[in-house]
Amino acid sequence: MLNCKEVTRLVSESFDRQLTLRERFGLRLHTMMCGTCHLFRQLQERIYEAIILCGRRDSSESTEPPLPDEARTRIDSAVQTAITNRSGTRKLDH
Amino acid sequence: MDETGTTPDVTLEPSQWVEAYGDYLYRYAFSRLRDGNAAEEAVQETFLAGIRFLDQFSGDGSQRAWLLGILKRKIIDHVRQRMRYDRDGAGDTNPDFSGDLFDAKGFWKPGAAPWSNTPDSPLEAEELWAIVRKCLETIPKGQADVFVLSVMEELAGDDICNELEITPSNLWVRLHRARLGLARCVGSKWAHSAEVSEYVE
Repeated sequence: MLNCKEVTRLVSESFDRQLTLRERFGLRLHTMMCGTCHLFRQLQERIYEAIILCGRRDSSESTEPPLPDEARTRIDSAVQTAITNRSGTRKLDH
Repeated sequence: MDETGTTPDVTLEPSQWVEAYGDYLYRYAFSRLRDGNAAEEAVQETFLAGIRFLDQFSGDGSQRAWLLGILKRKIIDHVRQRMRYDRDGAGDTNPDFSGDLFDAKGFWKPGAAPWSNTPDSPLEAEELWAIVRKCLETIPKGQADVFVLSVMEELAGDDICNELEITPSNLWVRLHRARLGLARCVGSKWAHSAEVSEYVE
């Protein structure tokens, strides 16, 4: 019978590859008897679900902070410089 | 100026990009890199690359999506760069990392699994995401980064290995450690938030 260490490893891997029949059976048997591993698996599934629903959503709905003003000014001036340089050297590119 | 500049299907002059796409790209970069300076750099590099390769923008599809595609490359570059300087979370150097979680027979040590005490009522995805987001900052970057590339950026394992120059077994160890670390952090924050709300009630 698998121990908890092996089972958590299988739970992790189940997100990244198809487990074999034997592995799935061992996992099921263990989590039927071990509440901690059962909850570990459930928690991993919930975390994964939350990331798909919220973590992967479009940036325009993101709760992350906006670009800080100081960085905005700095980046904008780098962009304007790059535009000027580009129009200056454009003919040399080809 | 209203927010129409940020709608996906417009094509703007590069001089308007920072105003129109700055927040959009920064939020994306920040959620993947969890580091304001790195996110700012990635956004700046994206705009500069966009200007340099403007001729390659076909006009099919949105300009914002095109810039996002460049940003996704830059994010991988940043992860690769910081992994080179910071070997934390590398599995190969410390194969028996789980000694503080499991006993000699491979069973949970007492107190190693804080998620056992979480309340029955499940958290909403939004609440859980807020906790996961915080916990990603508490686990080693070398683990959080591969986890984010795999689960949030949806990169295939082979691609992550190639990009970061790590072996598949190292990748799996990192992903597994990230998941164990997240479970411990999320479990204890979740159990704690339940205690607090019970106390308030």
